[in-house]
Amino acid sequence: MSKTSRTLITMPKTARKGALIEISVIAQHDMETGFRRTETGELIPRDIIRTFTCTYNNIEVFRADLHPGQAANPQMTFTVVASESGEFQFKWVGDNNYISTNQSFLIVN
Amino acid sequence: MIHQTIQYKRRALLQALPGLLILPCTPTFASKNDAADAMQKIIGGTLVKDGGIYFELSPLIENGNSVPIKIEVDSPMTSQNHVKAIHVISEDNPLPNIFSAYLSPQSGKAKIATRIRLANTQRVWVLAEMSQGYYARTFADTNVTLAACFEG
Repeated sequence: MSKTSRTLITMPKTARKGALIEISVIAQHDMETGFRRTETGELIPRDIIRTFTCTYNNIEVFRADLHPGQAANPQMTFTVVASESGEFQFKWVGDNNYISTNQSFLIVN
Repeated sequence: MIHQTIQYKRRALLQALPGLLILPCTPTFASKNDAADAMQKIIGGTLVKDGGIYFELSPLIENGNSVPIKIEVDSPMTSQNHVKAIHVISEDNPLPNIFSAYLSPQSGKAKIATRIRLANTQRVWVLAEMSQGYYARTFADTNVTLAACFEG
């Protein structure tokens, strides 16, 4: 049974060919560091999102490795050149079988 | 009289406060050597050039649990000359590696933003792997008033 959570993508719907578009992504996740303890002194096990990938028409355009040093609800902003109309696929993979996916369509004119 | 006792207690509490805040944060933090090791692991034997990176990190951070950072590397982002990866390394977090981003010429611009945790007042390093076979490097110093500790 894999875990998932809410994710949000902010990017334009249309762009001119060759224009630079900014994509902002956020995933709802506690990003438990594995360094915190409970009141009884037990270590809370690490539970983080480890990788994020963004593909544009099935070609990888951005990838990130996340570590416990990443803030909760990891947010990332990056840029992509709009070359052709197509689909952006976003995927987050983490500890305890965490998987979230999201997609967005860009029209290039 | 009652007033005075309250005053004294409050003063004692205030005096003890810095100690209380610092105590839980002391053990097992990444030392400067860990950060150097982590950077060495990424760089390997490649050439390192300082500069060429715009790194925005506030010099005073009120809450280390969520620290916004912005990084922009000087690069035309062509297939011959682009930034392949950007790494963020901490000198004083429990783990030196914070964040690694992998870019391509399709990125158009080597510009990223994210939010990180900082466990202490420290120096944060940024390494950018260039396609021409060298690493650009920069750092920023920051003061953290509320540490992202082992506590929430």
